[in-house]
Amino acid sequence: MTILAAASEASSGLRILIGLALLVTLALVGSSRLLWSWRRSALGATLTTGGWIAVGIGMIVGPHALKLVDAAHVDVLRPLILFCLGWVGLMVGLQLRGDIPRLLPKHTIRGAVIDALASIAALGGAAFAVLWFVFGESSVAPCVVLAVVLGAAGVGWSAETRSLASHQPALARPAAVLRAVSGLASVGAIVAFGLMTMAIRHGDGGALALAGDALGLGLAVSVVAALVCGLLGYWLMNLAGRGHGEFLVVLLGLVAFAAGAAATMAVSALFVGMVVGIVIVNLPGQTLTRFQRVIVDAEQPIGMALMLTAGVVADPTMGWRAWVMVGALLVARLLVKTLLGPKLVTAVEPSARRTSVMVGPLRQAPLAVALATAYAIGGHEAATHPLLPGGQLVMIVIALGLVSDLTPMLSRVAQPERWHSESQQARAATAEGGEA
Amino acid sequence: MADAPEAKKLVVVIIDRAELVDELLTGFLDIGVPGATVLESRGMGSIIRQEMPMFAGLASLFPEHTGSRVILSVLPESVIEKVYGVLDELVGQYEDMQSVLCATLPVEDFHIKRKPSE
Repeated sequence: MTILAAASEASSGLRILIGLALLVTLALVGSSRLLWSWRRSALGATLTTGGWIAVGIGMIVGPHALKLVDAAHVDVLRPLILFCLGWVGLMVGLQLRGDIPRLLPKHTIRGAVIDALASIAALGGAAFAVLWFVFGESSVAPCVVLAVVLGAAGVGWSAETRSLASHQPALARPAAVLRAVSGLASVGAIVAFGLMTMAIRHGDGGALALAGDALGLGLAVSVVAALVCGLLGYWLMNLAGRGHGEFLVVLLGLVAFAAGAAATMAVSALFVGMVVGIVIVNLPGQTLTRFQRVIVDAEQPIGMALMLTAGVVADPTMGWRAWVMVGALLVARLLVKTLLGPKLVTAVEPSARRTSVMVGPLRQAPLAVALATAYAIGGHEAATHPLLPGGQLVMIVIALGLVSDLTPMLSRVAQPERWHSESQQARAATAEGGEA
Repeated sequence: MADAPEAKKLVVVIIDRAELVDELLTGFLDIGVPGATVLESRGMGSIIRQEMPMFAGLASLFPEHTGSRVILSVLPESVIEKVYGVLDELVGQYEDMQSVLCATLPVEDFHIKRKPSE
C-alpha cells in the first residue's frame, strides 16, 4: 500500500515536472525569433503578439482537451506565474518616467486617462448589470469585484500596430499615439485591479466583502514594500556594476522579491511590480538603460508563459449567462473605443480618418488576459466564488479579446478593396506631406 | 621620391553597450586614432519589436532602450591590428560583454576637403 502510494506520488510529481517543462518550452518556442517571420502578415502579427496562439496551445494541453496540464500543475506553477505577473507590472511601471509630460503631447496623456476611466465605468457597469440582472446575484460585493476586474480588462487596447500601419509612413504617428496611449492606460488598469484586490476581505460567514480600511492598509503596505524593493534593487544593481551574472541575479531576485511580497500580503503582483518599476525608472544612473533593456527584451517569453497559463486556466464550459456577459462587454467596448479612438488618431493625422489604424482601439490589450489570469490564480475567495469562477472569467476575457482582435482582420479579408484604397490614400497623404 | 600614402580602411564597430562607448573611444585615442563618428543605432529585433509590443507600448517609443552605437573611422592599415587589440581588451575586461561586432572595408579614395587658407 505504501509502495503504491509512493508510486502514485512519484507519478504525480513527474506529471507536474512534465507540465512545467512543457509550459516553459512552449513559452520559449512561442517567443522564439524563428517564428518572427509569421509576424510579417497582418494575421500572423495579430495572432502572435495578441498571444492567441499561446492561449490556443494552453487550451489544447489543458484540462478540457488533452489533459497534459491541469489545475494541480497551475497550483505548483503559481510562484512562476506570480513572477511573470511581477515582471509585466515592472514593464508597465518602467514606462512612467518623470519626463513623460514633457515628451508626450497632452492629448495623448489625456486620452489615456479618459480611456481608463470610461472603460472601467462602461465595461464595469455592463458587467455589473449582467451579474445583477442575468446571473441574478443579490449581493453587491461579488458583483463589484467582478465588474472592476472586467472593467480593468477593458482598459486600453492592443499596442501591436504592425498589422494596421505597416509600411505606411502617414500612419506612423497615429500608430505611435495608439501605442503610447495603450502603454499609459495599462497603468490605470493595473491600479484599478490592484486596489480591488486590496479591498477584498472575508465577511461574516465567509461571504465575500469589500472593506475600505483594508484597501487603505493594503495600499500603504504595497507602496512601502514596492518602494523598499525599488530602492534595494537600485542599490544592488549599482553594486553589481557591469558583472553580467551579478546583474541577472539582482534582476531575478528583485522581481521574485516583489512578486513574493505581493503574494504574502495578498495583493496584486502586477501592482507591486508596477510601483517598483516607477521607483526605479525615476532614479538617476546608467544602470537603468541596461535594466530596461533586459526587462523589455523578455516581454515575449513572459507574455507567452502568461498566455499559455490563461489557456490552461480558462474554462470553456461556461453557460449561456457568461456568453451574455461577453456580448454586453463587447457592446460597451465598441461604444467607448469608437467614441475615443477616432479623436485620438485624427488629432495627430487628419488623413487617417478612413484608414486601418482607426480599428486599432477596438482590439483588446493582452494585459486583459494577464489581469484575468492574475484574478483566477489569486488564491483569494473571489476567484472561487460560484457566481463566476476564475476559469470562466478568464474564458470571457479570452472570448472578448478574440472577437475584438479578429473582427478587424475579418473585415480586411471581407473587404480587401476598401483596405487597399485606404492604403493608397495614406500613401498619397505621405507623398503630399513629403512634397510640402 | 615621395613615399606612397599608406592604404586606409574604414573601420565599422557596432557595440550594444552605450555606456562603454566612452571607454572604447579613449582606448582608440591611446593607439593614435585621430577621430571617429559615433551613430546611435538600433538592432533588427528592436525595430521589428517596436510595432509589436505586448505590454509596454510606451517603452517602445523611447529609442535609448536599445543603447546600440555604430562607430565609424577611416584609419591607416597599420592601426587596424591595434584597434582589434583595444576591442579584445574591452571584451576581456567585462565578463558581461558578449561581443562587439567589428568590420573593416578597403577605402579606395579618401579626401578631407578644406577651405583654402587666405
